[in-house]
Amino acid sequence: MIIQNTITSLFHFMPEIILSISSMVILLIGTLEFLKKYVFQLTILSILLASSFSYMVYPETALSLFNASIVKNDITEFFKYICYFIFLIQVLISRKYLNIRKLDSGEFYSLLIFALIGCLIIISADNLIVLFLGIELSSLSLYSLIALDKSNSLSSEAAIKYFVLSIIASAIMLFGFSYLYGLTNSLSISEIIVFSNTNEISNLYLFSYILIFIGVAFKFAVAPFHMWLPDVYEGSPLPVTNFISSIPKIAFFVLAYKFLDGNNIMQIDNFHNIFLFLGIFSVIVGNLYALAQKKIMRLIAYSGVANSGFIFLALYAAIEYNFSVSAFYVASYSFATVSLISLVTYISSKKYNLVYIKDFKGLSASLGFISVLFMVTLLSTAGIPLTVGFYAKYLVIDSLISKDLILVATLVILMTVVGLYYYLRIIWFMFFEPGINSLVNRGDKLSVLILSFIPAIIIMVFLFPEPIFKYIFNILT
Amino acid sequence: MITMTHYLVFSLLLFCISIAGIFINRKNILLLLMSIELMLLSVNTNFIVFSHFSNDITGQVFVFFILAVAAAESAIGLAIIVALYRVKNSIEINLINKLKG
Repeated sequence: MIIQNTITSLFHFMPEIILSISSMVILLIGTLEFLKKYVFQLTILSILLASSFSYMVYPETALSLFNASIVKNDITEFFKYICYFIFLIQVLISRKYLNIRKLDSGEFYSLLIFALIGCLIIISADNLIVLFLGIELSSLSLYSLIALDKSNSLSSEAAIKYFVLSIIASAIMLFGFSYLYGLTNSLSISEIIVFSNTNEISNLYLFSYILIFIGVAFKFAVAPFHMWLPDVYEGSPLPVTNFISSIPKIAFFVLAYKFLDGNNIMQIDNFHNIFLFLGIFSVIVGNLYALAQKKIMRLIAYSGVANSGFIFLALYAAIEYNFSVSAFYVASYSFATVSLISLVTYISSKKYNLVYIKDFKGLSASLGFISVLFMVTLLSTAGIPLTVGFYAKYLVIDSLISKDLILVATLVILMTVVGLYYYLRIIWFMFFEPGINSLVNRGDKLSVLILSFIPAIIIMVFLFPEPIFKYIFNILT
Repeated sequence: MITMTHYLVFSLLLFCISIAGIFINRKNILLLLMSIELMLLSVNTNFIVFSHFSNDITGQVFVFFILAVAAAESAIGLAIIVALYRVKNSIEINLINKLKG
């Protein structure tokens, strides 16, 4: 780990700085009448600039910036690239949707970039203060983004629900931070982990870790803490839902990884069984509730609950091996869900009313290729072969079986079969039922090209999983 | 003599009161905001106590950050409540029930 002084730290921190400056510039330009129409182009430009700069200053060895409050290594950079890529796709897809609803103002893009910066800071933070500020930066921007559609009462309702539950989650997490600080007298995450390995783990240390992971479970929407997710997915504008469903989950996965990796607390049964119970409960609750849903966004939300359960099961299995299975699962799930919600956004931006699941009837007649893309993504979230979702689920179940948890693995497979029903029902509606919605098909070639990106990746990674999985395995060990 | 344990029990009680305030309260959103503030203040008490008894200043620095963020949070919360009032003409919690499956 090479320690940098403040000036060189600023240089290595440049991608985030570029993003924050451009976000403020976009906010300013959004108020000027004659420059207003360029905010979208500026957003795309800034994200491209930041990611290429991030490539230019790629650290050869691990770096410690700003007095050990930010770290940069292969892991953080890998997840940051995933965030940049997902964010780019989300912004490109959502332009027309926002345009129809008069939401494409400067403050929308500015707040969205701020939320992204918050998540990037969570990924690279090594100090509890910086971590807290990153969490709050992303969630404060998300509260206002959800409530931005002021004419829609559902949107402000979703905002108030997300606001209250998210603050409870961060306050519980902060309470855990305060006990960790009291025990170790340090705010650095790496020193907190060293403390657990040199001293005996006290009950207070365990208690503070449980509080922190209750906060993480809230953000992941794992079963007993999932009640905000369906309401927020349904109420908020689709581009914001798209953001919430993917990038914060990647960020909080890296947070969980940082707190757990190389920590002796993982040897304590009472602690790591929490992951097992939350995971099983979440897989059951998510799949069973999803069966009863009539609205498409609520269905995606409950399938997200089930997938978060899988992530927690993978974290549980990571105790003796390493975190590569869970990292692979997080990456594959966030790609699939982004593709799913982007497709819904694209169809909704064509004035096609897509709220209920029965609205899918006969979609393939008017939007054939889009329906095929939808099918590939749905099969990936369901875990059917020929998609990367199958490989990710297989790895999780395989690691459960190798820990002699045959019963749990059987239960999880059964629940996946239950989940197949509601995914296949959508596919049935799309291809084999007569349509009730009429739609004027106007080709939008660029959007279709962008939308077909992720399904192509989903199939490619299934066919050649070795390089990407080996890469993840190498950076995590 | 007031020891560190007294302070810690006090802040834990404060935290539990605020959680109960959020979940028991069924009428008013403003009370929710107050409970949230109380929650963050109990965390602050914890940090100050640890910082004071271990002669380490960083805990008190953290408290300043939490205070600043709490102020921003209540500003945004009030703004959301105003937006809610404009479309619903009421801020009662019982009326926030439009989102369901």
